[in-house]
Amino acid sequence: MKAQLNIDFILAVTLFIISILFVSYTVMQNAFLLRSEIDKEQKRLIGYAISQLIIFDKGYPEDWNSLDSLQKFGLSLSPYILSRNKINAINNCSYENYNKIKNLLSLPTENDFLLIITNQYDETISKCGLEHKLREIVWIRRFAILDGNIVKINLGIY
Amino acid sequence: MKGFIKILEVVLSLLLIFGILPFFTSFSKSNDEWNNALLSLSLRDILISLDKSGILKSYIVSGNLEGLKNYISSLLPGNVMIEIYVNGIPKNVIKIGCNCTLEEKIRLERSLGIYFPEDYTFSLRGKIVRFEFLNTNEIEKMGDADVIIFFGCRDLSKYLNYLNEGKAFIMIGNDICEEKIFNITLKDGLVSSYSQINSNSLEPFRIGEYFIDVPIRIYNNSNFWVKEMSHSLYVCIDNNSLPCIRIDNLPEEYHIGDTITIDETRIKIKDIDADESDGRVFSDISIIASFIFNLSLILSFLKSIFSVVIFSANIPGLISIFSFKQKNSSFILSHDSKLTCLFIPFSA
Repeated sequence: MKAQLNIDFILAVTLFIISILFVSYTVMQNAFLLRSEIDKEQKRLIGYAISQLIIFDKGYPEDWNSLDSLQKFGLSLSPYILSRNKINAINNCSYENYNKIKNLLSLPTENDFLLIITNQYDETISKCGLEHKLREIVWIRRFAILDGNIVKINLGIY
Repeated sequence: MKGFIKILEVVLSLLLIFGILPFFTSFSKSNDEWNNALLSLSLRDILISLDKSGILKSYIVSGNLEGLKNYISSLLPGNVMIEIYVNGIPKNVIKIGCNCTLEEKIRLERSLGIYFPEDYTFSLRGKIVRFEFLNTNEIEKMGDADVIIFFGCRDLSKYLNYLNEGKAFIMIGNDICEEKIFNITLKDGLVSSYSQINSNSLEPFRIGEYFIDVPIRIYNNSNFWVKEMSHSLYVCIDNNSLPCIRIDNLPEEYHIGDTITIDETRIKIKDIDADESDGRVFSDISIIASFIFNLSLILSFLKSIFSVVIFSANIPGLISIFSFKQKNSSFILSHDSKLTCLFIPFSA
């Protein structure tokens, strides 16, 4: 048996190992990014679904103006026209009310939302939700009409 | 030789490995697609909201596109740039060049309902539009005109360049021209032949929509046509001293805002001026939009009311869109976004 290794063989093995390491590193890195991306996609889908409810759904009862009587969440009077009473009702919502809305929205336990409705000049009209400093947030921005003016609906999903 | 083969194997392996790498990195595209989708969603929301709140209409009617652009920009993130184009609305001033005699011009003014100077300006879906006649009857001097009107057949091959400039030509007459005007052969057909005119495959030609709610001025004691049937219109004053109209000498009196169904066509009375002091007595009527847009009905209505030939082309090669012949009149209508409200009643 020959104990001496050919220089070509050493070079080939070295290149092969480097390639394997590079591919492994890339796959590992992308696996984390993919996981994060899937998470974001889910949040975006949840956010989009909730934003549709906000803009198009009146909720139940249709003329609700207090979270106590609320059975189904929705902030509109008609598509794209928001109700001032409903927006006032959710403004500065308490932790209990937040949880009630979260349950009505069937939001997964591990997710939270933050809803901020502002006017054209980004002045807050209504705000409800939880803020997390360490968790990544995904924002969905929609537009609707409130009292004849266009308002921005910023919905963040944690 | 053996070493060379090993090197070759390594190179091939590397090529394979790097070849499959894009599959691991392709997901990054989805982020861009989401951003585009969310931006499209925002813009759709903004346009619907602007429309529903009436803000869009006020900007469009006043012609303040810069203001509209600034308004929309203020709602979007700072790094988004927008451009706005509005198509399909009439110009504020429609300049008419009439290649006609004085008698023909008077006939045209009565046809358009602009016989009196006060009628030169009118409201079309909230937008103020004004007709202006050029002070010439020579086509050569009608470079400023938006539309050139003439009576009877004639050879217009010299003025093809006007079509390319976006001008419209309107021929008023009862004859089918034997010769080719602008080298176009007139096509005969029935309304049903054009039932697909509003289909998606002909999206740019959704001309039927322009005829809804367009006020047509009928002077007192004049005729108008609905579905090939002539009807007379008389302006009257009722027992409560309110202006009214009567159709075909029937006793029923109709007032502003009333809707009449004539020959299965719903017509709304938009305005009545019964003040005879200025000799200007008229009623403005229009077809009403139905929830189910019935193009054949509208075409029937138009076919019977208007006897005109319109030539217009924004796109070279697309000059006539549809045409049909009815009784002794011919009709070709071509859509031009700069001219949407100029129709000539046959009753002139």
